[in-house]
Formats: sequence, structure tokens, C-alpha cells
Amino acid sequence: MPLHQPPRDSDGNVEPHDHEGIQIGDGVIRRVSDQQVVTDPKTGGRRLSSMVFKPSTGPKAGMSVDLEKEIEKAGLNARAYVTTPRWVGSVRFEAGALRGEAFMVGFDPLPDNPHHGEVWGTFSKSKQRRLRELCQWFVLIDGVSTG
Amino acid sequence: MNRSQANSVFSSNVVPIPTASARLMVCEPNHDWRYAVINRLEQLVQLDRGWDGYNGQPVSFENAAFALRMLEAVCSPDADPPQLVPGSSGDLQIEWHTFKGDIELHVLAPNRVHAWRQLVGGDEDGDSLDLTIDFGSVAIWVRETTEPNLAAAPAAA
Amino acid sequence: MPRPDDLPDFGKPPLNEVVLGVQFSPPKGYQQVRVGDVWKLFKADYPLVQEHQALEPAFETFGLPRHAQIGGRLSFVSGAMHDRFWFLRSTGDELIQFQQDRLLHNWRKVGDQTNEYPRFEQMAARFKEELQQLESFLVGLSPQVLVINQCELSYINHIEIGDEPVDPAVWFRGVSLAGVKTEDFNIGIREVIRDNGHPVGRLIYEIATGVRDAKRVLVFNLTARGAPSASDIDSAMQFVAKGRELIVRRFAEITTEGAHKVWERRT
Repeated sequence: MPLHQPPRDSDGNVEPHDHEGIQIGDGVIRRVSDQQVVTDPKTGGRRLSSMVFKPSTGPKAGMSVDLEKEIEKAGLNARAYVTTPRWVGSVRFEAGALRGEAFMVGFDPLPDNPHHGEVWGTFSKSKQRRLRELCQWFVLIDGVSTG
Repeated sequence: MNRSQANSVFSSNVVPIPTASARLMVCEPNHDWRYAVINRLEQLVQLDRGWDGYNGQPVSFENAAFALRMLEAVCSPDADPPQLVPGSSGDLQIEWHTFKGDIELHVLAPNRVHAWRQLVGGDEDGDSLDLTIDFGSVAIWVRETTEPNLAAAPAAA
Repeated sequence: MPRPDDLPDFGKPPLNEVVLGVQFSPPKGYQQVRVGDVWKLFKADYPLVQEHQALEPAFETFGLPRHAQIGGRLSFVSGAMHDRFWFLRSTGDELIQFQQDRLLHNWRKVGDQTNEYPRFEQMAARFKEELQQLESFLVGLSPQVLVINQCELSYINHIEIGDEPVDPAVWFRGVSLAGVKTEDFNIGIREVIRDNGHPVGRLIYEIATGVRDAKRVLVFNLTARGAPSASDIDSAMQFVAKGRELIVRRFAEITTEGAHKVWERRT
């Protein structure tokens, strides 16, 4: 059963929400680009920048993600789906773990990405650190650690 | 006359008398880090839309220009070049990572910078500042975090 | 905005041009193809138009003492660049400069140089109105306000000095070259503008010899540039007003008594 449509404001923009249709064990995938990789001698080489674990700027902006279950319900391979363009890597969270850090996990379908979601919340430095600890590689970028 | 700061529309009607002060015509300070930063900014302002797999925009020209002016206020001529990471909304983050610690300067917009610094062995959450145009504190951070340790070499046996 | 009572005033100042300007974030929904609509806002009084190369973004930042950024140019480009358009009065003495991230208003002496400066208060009122008109137009493209990130005010003076070598000390205090009469010279100075001890901008002084209409002149520019306290139009106008006060006071402080006599100082 597809997720019900999210709440929207008068301009049609999705309001931050925690979608009850996204279960605690559901995968929440965050695509990452090699533009977001930095060199840090303390971690022995290359790792993800904290920008991976920050939201877009602007009111109501969250951290863009893909909802793994929605991709699979559509009969698609999640790893193949999120590897667009082909050089993009990705990390994965579980929705319950995100909610455990007081984030909301919501549904925000887009014309070119109907399985798009958002994570909303307070992205303080400690929360960014927690996100880094919680994530696991889903599509690995060779030679790069999550942190 | 050195290039006027003023947006005069009449300046072409005044013919400057050539002076020997050619050095006042320096247009760009010649710093190594600057060359690396400008190259990287060139890449970031030309990123394709959707570079992040979502709706990521290239770094905006005004943010890139502001970032460069900020770095000119923060980096000494021999400073280590920072790493530049794009955000998804035309913003960018300027980062240094060394054995001493980390600095991140998130340029959200001109006159809006979230600065963060953590020293190894220091508070896990580090220090944060929300800054507009005065980056004196950050200049100190950069010097402290990126300067090599100048410990005395051990005496020969 | 009333003129401060104790602000120096001159009957015949060497003022040749005044520029008020703001820089703002490129507005949402605006593209260069809409510049004709912007011109329409002002066309009744500014019926002539010219195209020029765009001005680069300018930001005053503070931290380490460093090289002056006189003429510091940005070396990277990003895609299509919006031209700078001049919308001119038919008399040519006032114009509006517009590009996607700037609006400026210039007054200048023209022709036989007898056109009177309309005074800052009048120019500032006009400029504020122009900003408000522009903002209203942009709201029509997309819900937004102008986000102003830099303001500037320039006073450009032309001091006629004749054909003889010039002693800068005749015109400027504290520029003693032991009576040396120079054929030409070039001075650039920057001063930090502070508000409650915090840097908010710079006052930039440029003095150089030049030739205008076959007459030797000292071109003496004073420019106040910096970030307003907030990004709205009122805050920008406050910065410009403060800049004007600083410029006029400094002009009087650094020029000589002899110069003031020539320029008929009143207060």
C-alpha cells in the first residue's frame, strides 16, 4: 500500500511531519556525492563531510532522503535506484534510529523522484555526530569512511 | 589613478596622470591557498543541478565571492588551503582538518556564516559562532589549528 | 531624514559626483529578459538607456590585517552574466544603475558644470523610493523582499589645481612632503568604520591627479562601504546616512583651512 500523501501548506509545499506509514525498521537512504568527501588525517584518509548530515537551508527544509521500502514496493532495486547519476554513493539509516534522535521522517514525493523523503529536526553538531555514527554504507564510495 | 572603489559613471572623463605607483594596481594578493580555492570555487559554481542526487544547486556566485573575501580576512599568505564542500541550496562549507582539530565555516549567504571549531582533546561539541563580516576569531582558529607544531627537535645522541 | 545641524557645509564644494548604492542577493524568479520591466519602473524620469559591463560582487570583510583589496578582482565566472544597465535622465545629470544584484543612483555635474547638487536628503529619498519600487516589482515575480548585503556611498570631488606642480599640503592636512611640489601623486587609504566597537564597513580615500577637459584636477574620492545592520531597505538607508555623515566630516577634517576658504565653508 503506497504511503498516503503528506500534509502540505497553501503553496503546495510539504509541511515537516513524521509519517506514520514509515515503520521503525524501514530503510532511509541518503545519497552522497564525491563532492562531499574530505581528507582528514585523523581518520586515516578520506571521509564524509559533515555537510552530508545537514539539511538544505531555508524554512521547512530538511535532509533529503530516499525511502527504501517505497522504492521496493514499486518493484525497483533500491541500490540501483539511488545510484543516479552513476557515481553517487549512499548511506542508510533506519527510521526508528532517526526518530530515537528526535528527528521526524516524512514523505515528500517529487515529480522526478516519487520515493523522496525528508528528515526534519535539529541538526546540532552533536546530532550530526550521531547521524554519522548511525549510518552505514549502502552504496560505498571506495576508500571513503563515513567518519 | 588606482582603480576606483567608487561606482562613478564619470571616471572615464578623467584621464589619470600615470604615476610610478604601479604596485597599487595589484588586483589579487598572491597567496598559494588562493589559487587552490579559486580553482575549487570555479568547479562548485559550475556544478550541475542535481549534483547530489536530489535537487542540489551549484554554489551561488555571490556565496563563492563572499567566501573568497572571507578567506582573505582569515588566511595568512602561507595558510594551508581549506577544503570546500558544496551545500544543496547554493551554500558551501569551508573546512580544515588537521591532527590538532577541525574547523568548519558554513557560508549560508553573504554576511551569514556559521563557524565551528573543535580541538582534539577538547569539548566534543566544540565552539560555535554565528558571524557576519568580522572573522577575527576565525583567523585565530585557523592559525592555531593549522600551524605546524614547532616542538624542539630531539638532541642528537 | 534631516541634515545634522553640526555637519560641515560648503557653499562651493568641489563635488563632482555622488553615488548611492546597494548590493543584494539575486532575486528569485528574476532573469535579464525582465530588465525592460525594471526600466519601466523608472522610464518616465529616466528615458535613456545604456548597457555596460556588470560590476563584480563587493564585500567588506574583517579579520587579519592584510593587503588592500584596491581593485581586487574575482577570477572565477559562473555562466551567463547580467549586464549593468544605466537608465539616464534626458539631461544626463542623474542616472540609475541596475544589474541583477545591484541598484545605484548617481548624480554628477554635466555640461558647463553648473548644475546644482540636489543635496543628500533629496537624493536619499529618491533612492529609497527606487528601492521600494524595485522591491514591489520583484514581489510580483515571487514572494520575497530585497535581501541587501552591502551598501555604499561615494562622494567624488574634482579639485582644479592648474598647470603648476602641486603641493598636496595646500589641500590636505597631514600630507607634508616638506614643501615638495609634485607633478602627480596617488594616495589610497582605508579606514575601518565601527559601530559599538565592531567593524561594519570601510571608509576608502583615494586622491590622485588627473586631467578633465584639458584641466588638471585632483580627484578626491571618499567611499563608505559595508554591511547594513539588517538586510531591509530601512537598514540600508541608515548605513548610507551614517556613511554620508562620516564622509562629510572626514572631508572637512582632512582638507585645509585654505581649501575651505576656496570652497566657502559655512559651518
